[in-house]
Amino acid sequence: MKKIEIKNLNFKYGNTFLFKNLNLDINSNSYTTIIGPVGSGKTTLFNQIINNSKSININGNIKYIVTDPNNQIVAKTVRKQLSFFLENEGFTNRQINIRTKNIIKKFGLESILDKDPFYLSEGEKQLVVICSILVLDLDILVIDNALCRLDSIIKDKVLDYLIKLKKKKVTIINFTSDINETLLSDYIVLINKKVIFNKKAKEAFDNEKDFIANDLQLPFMIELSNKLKYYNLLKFQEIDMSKMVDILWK
Amino acid sequence: MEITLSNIVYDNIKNLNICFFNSKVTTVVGANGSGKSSLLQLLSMHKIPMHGNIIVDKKIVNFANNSAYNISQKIGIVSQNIENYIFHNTVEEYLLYLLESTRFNDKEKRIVDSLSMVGLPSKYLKRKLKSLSNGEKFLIAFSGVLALNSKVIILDDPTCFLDYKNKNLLSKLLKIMKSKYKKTIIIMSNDMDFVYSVSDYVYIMAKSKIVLHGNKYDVFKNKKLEKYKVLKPNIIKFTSLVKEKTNINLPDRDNINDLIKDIYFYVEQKNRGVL
Repeated sequence: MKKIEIKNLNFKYGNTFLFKNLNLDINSNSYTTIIGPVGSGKTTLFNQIINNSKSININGNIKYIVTDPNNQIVAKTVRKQLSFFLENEGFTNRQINIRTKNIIKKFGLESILDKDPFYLSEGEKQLVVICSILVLDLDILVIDNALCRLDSIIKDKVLDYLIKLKKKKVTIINFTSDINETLLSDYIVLINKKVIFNKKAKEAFDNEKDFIANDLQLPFMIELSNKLKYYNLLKFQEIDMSKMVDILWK
Repeated sequence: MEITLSNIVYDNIKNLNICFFNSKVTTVVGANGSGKSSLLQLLSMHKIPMHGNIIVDKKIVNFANNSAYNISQKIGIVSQNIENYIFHNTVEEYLLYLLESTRFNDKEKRIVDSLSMVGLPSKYLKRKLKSLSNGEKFLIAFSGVLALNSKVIILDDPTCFLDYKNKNLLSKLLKIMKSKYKKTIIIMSNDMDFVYSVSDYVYIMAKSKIVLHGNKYDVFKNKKLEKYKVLKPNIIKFTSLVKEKTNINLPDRDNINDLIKDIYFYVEQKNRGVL
């Protein structure tokens, strides 16, 4: 089933078209990472999706996380921020308690619960906003470069969490500038004012030409694999570093 | 310009000692909440430490007169605060505004030149700021600091919105800025591969303290890194795993192509039974 269908989407800034007849389908229960160079239209496409523009058909309920956490901070303390959207959606106090407790533990927010999110660092703000969305019942989750200020360990935790959500039938669309965020997704969509490709992740990495032609690189482990394959040091792509070392020095 | 923070107490920071030299790229790395933001506030010279001294070119900064203000004028901070831009309509208005209080008499030329340094053609001058992508906004802000000729360039999470081409452009520019123009370059970032490729010196912050510092190879190979919630850059992660599993010491390398040559060499040696 198609969860999101974008048909002949046009978008102009002033007199110049950014998108002309852009088409893109997102399958339900899939995890898609959308990449593209600077100025390719990632944030514009994100905005068109969350504002449900008329060329876009959405079969479900969308929740989203924007780049700048300041736009989604609505409460005076982290604790209140975490329960704010839950309260809005009419969850009972008991449900709110259970869900916020779990997310606080999962992402180690204990020490900042009583702080005003406004005075946290940008990375902490991003994490708090992400958590305040992750506690909700999710159907479609769309993210616009919202993991970029997180430290690498927290970022990996959030990405792991997204994979768990996908297994629970959530459709995930992550717009990002960090190519390494593509590694665990099902589909990769490369856009540059149009859709360059929409492929299963494994197939996307087989051809690096599209990445290079659009000012992007491959994730480190893919680039390393491909180059080692070229020198006949490796037979297959291997994205697990530990396994790769074992194969090379077996 | 050389900036030293000596025995600083400020916000959560208890006793901070850190030094930023000219002609060097110094990077501060730390998990979210480790104190990098407080450090950034201090470096902007707009906040007064509760205790300790900020020393610029061997002189203690006096916050009681306007010396802190004068120093702050020589420090260019490029951050992702998009809301700062909304007061200006076009890129040209924004950049001219930045240069307003300077004595340059070639302002127009300066902004065109600095735009071209960050890879943007002069037609961007007429672009409306709100039509720009986040990556373009960052490049514009960076070009502003270049136009100002700031002695100190501070980049807060510079790679957030950049693609591969622009990351490369940024690291090339930083190399020129430090070696040719003797700039003091300070980076706060969690993009470890980028940090590894551009830094000369690295400080690791945890719990509002400096817990590790040194040249990038020593710092990123340090076993304590994990304890401070900092991941290794991919190249170091790979060479450390090789050391752990095979006891082979691969040389310190800065890029993937050199690493591959080393792998080729050592795997060949193993196959020929040398190792």
